[in-house]
Amino acid sequence: MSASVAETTRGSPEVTASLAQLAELVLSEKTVDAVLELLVSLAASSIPHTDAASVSVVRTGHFETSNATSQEVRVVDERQYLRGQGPCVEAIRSGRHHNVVLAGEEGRWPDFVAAARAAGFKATLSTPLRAQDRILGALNLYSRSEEAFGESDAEQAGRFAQHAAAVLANAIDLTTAGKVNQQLQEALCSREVIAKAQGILMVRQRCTSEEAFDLLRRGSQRSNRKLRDVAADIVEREDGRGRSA
Amino acid sequence: MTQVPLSQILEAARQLCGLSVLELWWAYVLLGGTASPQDVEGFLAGALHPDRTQYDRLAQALNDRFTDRGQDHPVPYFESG
Repeated sequence: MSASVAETTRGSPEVTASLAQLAELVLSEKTVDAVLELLVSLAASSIPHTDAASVSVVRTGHFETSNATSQEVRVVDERQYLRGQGPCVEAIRSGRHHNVVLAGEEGRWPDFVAAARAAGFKATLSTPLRAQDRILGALNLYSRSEEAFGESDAEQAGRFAQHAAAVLANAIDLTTAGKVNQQLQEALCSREVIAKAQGILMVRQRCTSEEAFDLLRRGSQRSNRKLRDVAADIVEREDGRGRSA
Repeated sequence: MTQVPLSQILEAARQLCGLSVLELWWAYVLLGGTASPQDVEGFLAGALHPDRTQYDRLAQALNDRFTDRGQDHPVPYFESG
């Protein structure tokens, strides 16, 4: 990643430094939320003319603001999701950035313009976060300046979004991998407890593995408890016996 | 066992306790089950026939779920038929 960062952010030391910070996070921090938190903070501080920033993400078909530099930005974003209209929603749907000066957009997005103006914003730039063929969300920049975000601002936001989307996609993959790992650990633990209890019963009752499982399920049925809990009791009692012997 | 096919008993119980096929498969794996999710789907549809070991683990997975919901073991085991 470092080579492409250097290549795409040549001549922009602020963004280079920001992206380097972001790349470091991938090595040290694996949660999606932490990545997004840093993302909005870096975007607001390193992209010129930006007074506030947020990240919109699509989760189970719904838009939501995962992170924002201020509460007022969340309110403005929410208004867009509520109506299904606004530059951020459009950027995610179309996969193209939307660079908008609010004056003149009242007819197209009346609710969004009213909410943004109430928060003191006069221009906004929403850039989709694209990872391969997926749009994961949008990076939204807000400005209190009358002027629109310039071409170079949009380019920087685009580059920033490109790297941020890659980090976000990796973070999502890592989170998924972490959940799978946790589930596998749970499975191993459960199966081990049951297998141990079967082993104990096989020795005690001189029976087969399947007959031992039958004993466990009968115990579960008799006490109306889950089979794993019945097995855990047997293992625990045996361990206690071993310790006191 | 009763005249009702085993697959129908399992599928009816699965629907009654609100487990998806994948959730049931996972609960069954936790109990030492070794069939794949596709096989379990086949058992439930009646396309495949579980042996006693597989059936009892699926029945137990469902009964554990019912136990969580404060109900007793409504799914019969293989030997009870």
